[in-house]
Amino acid sequence: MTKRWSVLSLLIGSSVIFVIATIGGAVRIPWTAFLFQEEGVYTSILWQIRMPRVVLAALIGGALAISGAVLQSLLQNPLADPFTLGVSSGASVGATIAIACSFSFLGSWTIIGFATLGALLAMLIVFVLTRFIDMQMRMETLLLVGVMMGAFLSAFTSLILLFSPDETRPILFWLMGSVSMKGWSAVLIIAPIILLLSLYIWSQARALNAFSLGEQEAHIVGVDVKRLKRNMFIAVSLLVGSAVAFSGMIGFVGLIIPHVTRLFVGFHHKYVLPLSFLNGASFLMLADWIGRTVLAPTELPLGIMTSFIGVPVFLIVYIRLRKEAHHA
Amino acid sequence: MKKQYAFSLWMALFLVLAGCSAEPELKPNDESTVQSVVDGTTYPLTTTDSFDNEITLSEEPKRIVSLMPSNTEILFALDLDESIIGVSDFDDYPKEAETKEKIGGMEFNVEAILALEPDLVVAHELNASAADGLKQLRQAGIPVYTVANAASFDATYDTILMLGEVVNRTKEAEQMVKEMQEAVDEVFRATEAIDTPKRVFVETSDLPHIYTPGTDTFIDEMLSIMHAENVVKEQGWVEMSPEAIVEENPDVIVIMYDYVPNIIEQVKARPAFDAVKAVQQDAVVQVDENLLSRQGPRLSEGLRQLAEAVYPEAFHD
Repeated sequence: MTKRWSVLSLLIGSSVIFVIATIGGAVRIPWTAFLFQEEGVYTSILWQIRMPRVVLAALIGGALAISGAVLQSLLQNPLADPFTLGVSSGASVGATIAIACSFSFLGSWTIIGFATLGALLAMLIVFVLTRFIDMQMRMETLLLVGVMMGAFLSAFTSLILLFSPDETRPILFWLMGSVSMKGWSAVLIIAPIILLLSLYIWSQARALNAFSLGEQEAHIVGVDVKRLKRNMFIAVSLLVGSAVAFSGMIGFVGLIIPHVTRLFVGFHHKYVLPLSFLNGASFLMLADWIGRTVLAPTELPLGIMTSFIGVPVFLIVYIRLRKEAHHA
Repeated sequence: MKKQYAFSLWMALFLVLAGCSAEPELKPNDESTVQSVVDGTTYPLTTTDSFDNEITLSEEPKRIVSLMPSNTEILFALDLDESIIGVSDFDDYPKEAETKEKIGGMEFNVEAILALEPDLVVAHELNASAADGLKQLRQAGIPVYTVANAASFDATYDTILMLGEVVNRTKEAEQMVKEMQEAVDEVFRATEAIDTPKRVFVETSDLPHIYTPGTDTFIDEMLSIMHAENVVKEQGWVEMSPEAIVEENPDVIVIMYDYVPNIIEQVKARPAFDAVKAVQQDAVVQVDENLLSRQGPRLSEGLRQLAEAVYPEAFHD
């Protein structure tokens, strides 16, 4: 499969999935609802519930996937995922506290606000701690500190969960991830954040290519390694932090989508980064659509759907392309 | 606020099981007709509860422990204030119930109950999850009377009369049932004249998983008594997608939980809900869930509250 074909097919695939996800769901939307003139419940459902949901899924999926791709390169570890750095655990602590104590200072934005705060604090602590331990802020140190922080904060989340028997269900629901009923206001806030950060990351594709050879090697080639690490780390943390703050912990996307993308388009970050974003977007739109359609009216949580669907899809793609590589 | 969420969860569980009580683990007797009871009870009394367990009481019980708020309310209303010595953590009505010794929640503390030395423990079908605990109590020689989950007014009347017989308060029990029946009839008559029934959606939990009572539930029965239409046509307790709610376009939305502050405004502000008639006509109402889910004397009050929320014009003249 040539690269052109791969890119084209991925673009078409994404569009198809977008359309399916918008039309399909618990309620069948008649095509007339797509015309702006008509008032009524179907238009409202389409434009105020369905559309923002699908768009949010796309944005979050893209953010998680591109973060995973960057981290896998930065840490030179194929098993790295957006949650490795501990930022997401920080977000979950924030959200859990907000739910457990029934805070409502910011109205419907309270949980998101607290989650964002938690993510930023976690990011700060990891940053400072890494710097403290290792002046050069090598990646191994960063990885170690991030994983430790993540473990600690996850345990903290569990502790809060234990002491909040009355709020157990809402906390668990939040932790399992959801893009439902956030409305356009959530989308309008997070879209610029995700898109700008992703574009910035994409602009550093060349430097990231060099980095995947190793820190020393990248330095020799002329990359400002320290600056790249710092900027990428901040960008990824902000991306992941905001994604998790808005939609909970959605695993698997950041880990597997970059790998699938590389199977299609190789290792050049110029392609891997934007196409990971695209694939992540498609995947999450698909997972959300299936989760809310298969057992309608029950909605299966997004975090569960990503793993259920992702594993077989990944295996099929991987085995297929491995076979092709063998025959070639 | 925490306690109230626990109530809603428990009531939701209550009513979920009420809805799917088609094949419960324990099978109650098939006598669902309202039975007439003897004037006063004679002891020693040997009787069977709703699950064919034989109970023997040598004399009128004076140390009663109740494991479920609905039973507690019935017992208090049967004038047994002094005889009740233990209640569950969730019991909050009447006020006197809060002064009684607490013996735990769904997982009741067997040791605490034994320490109180009761001569009767009144349990509920939903306590069956702690069947081991109930067995331990029986083995310790304590009579345990388990009532079936009532999924209709008639079944509730049965429960009240049966309990009344066991505790020697048959007159009070009959009076209670009579008052409830009158209150129910009043609601029925007040809403008889309505020609187009309003379409009602009842929700018992907030996003992201909204649950609602469908057909064959107690709430559904209440809605038919008051001549209203339940928009949910599926059987039992089901989750409903917010899209489906908007599609159904109910005239009234009834909120049956209180663990979310400012929930009425939040429901109105949900995406796409501005297209729903209930929101447009400002007919999003909140009711006291305890009145509607505890199968006891306040049930008729709950029915009244629900009817007034749905048809305010029929009750204010």
